[in-house]
Amino acid sequence: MSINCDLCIIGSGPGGYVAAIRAAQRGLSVVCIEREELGGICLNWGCIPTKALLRSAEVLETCQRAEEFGITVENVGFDFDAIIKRSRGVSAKISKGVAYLLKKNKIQHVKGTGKLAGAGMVTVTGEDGEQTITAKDIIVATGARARSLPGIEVDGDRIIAYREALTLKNRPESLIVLGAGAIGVEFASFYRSLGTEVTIVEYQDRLVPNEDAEISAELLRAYRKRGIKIKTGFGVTSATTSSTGVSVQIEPAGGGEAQTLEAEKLLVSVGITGNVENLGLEDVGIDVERGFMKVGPDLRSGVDGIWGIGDVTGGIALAHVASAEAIYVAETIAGHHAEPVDYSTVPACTYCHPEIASVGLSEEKALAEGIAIKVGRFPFGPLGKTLAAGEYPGFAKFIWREDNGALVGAHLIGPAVTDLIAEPTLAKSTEVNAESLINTIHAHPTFAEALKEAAEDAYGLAIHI
Amino acid sequence: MAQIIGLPKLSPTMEEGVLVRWVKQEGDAVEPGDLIAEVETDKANMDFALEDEGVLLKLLVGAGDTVKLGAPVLILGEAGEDVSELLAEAQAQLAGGGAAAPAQASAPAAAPQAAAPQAAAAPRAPAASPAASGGRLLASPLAKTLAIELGIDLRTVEGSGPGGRIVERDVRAIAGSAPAAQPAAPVATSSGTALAVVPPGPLAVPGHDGEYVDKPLTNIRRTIAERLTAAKRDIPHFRLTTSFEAGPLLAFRKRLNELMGGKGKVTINDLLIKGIALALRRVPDANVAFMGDSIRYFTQVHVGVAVALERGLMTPVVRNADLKGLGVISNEVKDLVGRAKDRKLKAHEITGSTFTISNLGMFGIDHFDAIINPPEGAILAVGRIVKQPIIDDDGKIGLGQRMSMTMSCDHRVIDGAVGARFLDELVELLESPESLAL
Repeated sequence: MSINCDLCIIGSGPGGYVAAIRAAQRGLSVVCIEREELGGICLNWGCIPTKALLRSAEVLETCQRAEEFGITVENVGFDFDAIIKRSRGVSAKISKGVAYLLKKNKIQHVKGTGKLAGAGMVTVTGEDGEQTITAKDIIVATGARARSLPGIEVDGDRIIAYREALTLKNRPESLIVLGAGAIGVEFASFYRSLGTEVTIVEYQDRLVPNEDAEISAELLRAYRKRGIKIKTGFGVTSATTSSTGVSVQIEPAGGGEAQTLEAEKLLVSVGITGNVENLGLEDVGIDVERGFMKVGPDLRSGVDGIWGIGDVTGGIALAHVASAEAIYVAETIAGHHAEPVDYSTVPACTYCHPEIASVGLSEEKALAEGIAIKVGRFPFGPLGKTLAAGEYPGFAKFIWREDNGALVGAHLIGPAVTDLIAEPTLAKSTEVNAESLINTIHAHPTFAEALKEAAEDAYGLAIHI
Repeated sequence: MAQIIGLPKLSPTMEEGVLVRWVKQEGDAVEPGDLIAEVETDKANMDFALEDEGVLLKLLVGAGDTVKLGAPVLILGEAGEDVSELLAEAQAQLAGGGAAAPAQASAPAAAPQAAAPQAAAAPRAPAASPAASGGRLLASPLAKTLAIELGIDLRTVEGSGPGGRIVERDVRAIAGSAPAAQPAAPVATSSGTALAVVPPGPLAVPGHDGEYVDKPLTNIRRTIAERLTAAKRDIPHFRLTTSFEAGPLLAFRKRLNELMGGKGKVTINDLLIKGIALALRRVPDANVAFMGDSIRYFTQVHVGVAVALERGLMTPVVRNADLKGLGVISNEVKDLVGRAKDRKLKAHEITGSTFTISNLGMFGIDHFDAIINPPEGAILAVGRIVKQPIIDDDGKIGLGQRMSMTMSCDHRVIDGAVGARFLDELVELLESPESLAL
């Protein structure tokens, strides 16, 4: 059996399904191959189910603090199994949404594992055997999975990765989180909210090392307050499992005395590696470098008609980057003009408590690039909205170019910042500079007032501080 | 069936061309080989002829437009064919960066161009200059700040953002300065000064605001810049200078011209070309090129002649100069130089030289050295003839007419001794000029 189409996409995550829909909107016949659930990691094992878990944690904490708000809630507790079930339910629902969208756009969904079989040809191995798909263009959007460390094998029981952490049968009494990137600090936040003893081990000298250093420092304060133990500047040398738990050897990154940490589970969240295996990449002449598919800046693989987008290419591993790349490639294939993805305006959000969001360069990176800057900060604390909501304060930080007020970067930690980041992102992508942002009226009372004031603070003009 | 015709490769190194003029017009029928347009490439003005027959249904670019190699320039078909689909396709390609940047001069005015249909319906053609529409000036706040800082009138800037919005890169493009890191020492301050006044920013040339004019590079100038920079950077040059007694050469030329009567005039340069060609025959090790992992020994001698033109430098080639008579060389050079000035040289007439001569004698230069014209192995720079006292073999002082020559050699393929041998042979030939006629 064989299918002929204009575009064949391997993978249905936020890269694959978005490319499929846009290409279909542009009149192409599209086949989308997926071996697991539609929607990829993002919808099924990443962004969405973790947000569901963190929402449960938030509701629990709010109930625990109900008295502060004058509300009586008795017998506050939780059913771990039910929390996990809700999270899976949310994923199932949104995955069905993708199925609906594919159907609506007349995209043929082929279940199975796709493999490049030469120019314009993909074979799919599924339950019904093997079939061949011929297409003018092929997009590889197979995503990535958790990377493991040598000597620390994920066994799915004592040593786990994000998939297991999303579907544990029982809440662990204690948990060591290895790696303080977005995934690590989010799971730390969730399990700590449920009362688990959490220790974070990070090789670099701070939490969320990709963020601005001041954001890392604020998160450190917040996590210490929440009773999360932090071991930054430590590397793991070995992990030994037993019937009761896991014993982890750690050593200071700069050398020094080794320590042993004990816990019920060890969560490994030290980055990702591309799903490049058994894809036929090398067979058709596409390079694989450090576990990722190599593509050029225009997302072409070097082999005519084969493109790569999203996590599998080893770029910025964020769902919205994959989607932006998907739009660019789909439009280009369809012969429409599309602006290439501007990677300097990609926002990043971390849904720990307090939340973190940023766009552009950190202060450290801006200085390293030799940009003369002006920096402004404003805490969410004094805002009427924060006080009324009883939220964790945090702050907003703006970095402007000194000469013309262009936005270099914005870094937020505190309430609702993962939504608030949309404003600085728009400012960056449309070149709204300091003067324009300051002259924009911000509604009162809102968390967004902190953005205006932080922008003003860079020029000594913040009112409420 | 109608088809889109793209801009063909008219010179070996061209990546884009400027459409100088359409020779045929929309609606004209053409035969294979018919000249339809003139295109300025990085080398010269080239004739653009078609290999197919048909009717020019649509001309897609206008005179003065810069067009990328392969970008659509016209639609060819049969009279009366519907080309709307092809037109949309071509316009999409042009809008997609395939090309046709309007000529610099015509940009701000955006006057209606009869032969520029791509501007009318391209899916995302930048809107006519925002100010021209009489409405609000559409520019990003940063672009506005930058324009004040750099002293640029935004009404003269064409926007490349969504809906023709002027963004940072448009202003920087006009200012000729890419967004670069600040040279100033990085300073981070939490509390800055008041925002009211925008501090003066970096100028392309500080302190020279309004005292200069930036002219965009022509294709030929860009090629010169790229090639000579690469040559100077990548080729290990060394130079050998010598001089010779030019009295006999002058006398020989006089005699030759008397013999030719009114049928042309041999120049010193023509004699030098022949001399170089014969010397290269005698020292074939100097007729070479460095090829990366091999040395190419040319079996023929083609001498490039550097010609200064108003718009830049060109090097037309006298092929097999060793085999040609002086009269032939003389007429050929005259013809090549004339057509170089008129931009009429063909690609094969400016490529393939194995050695180049650059003569600034007529400009009163005593001596100089030249940059090698890659991939050649050497170039000879020749100055004027200078009267000066010389001491002959008997120790007597006499009047000399000395001509100085400097040979720049690529040391990867020509060593000092080889260069010296070549110059020695050349001097011998030029001091006994009758041998040039043998």
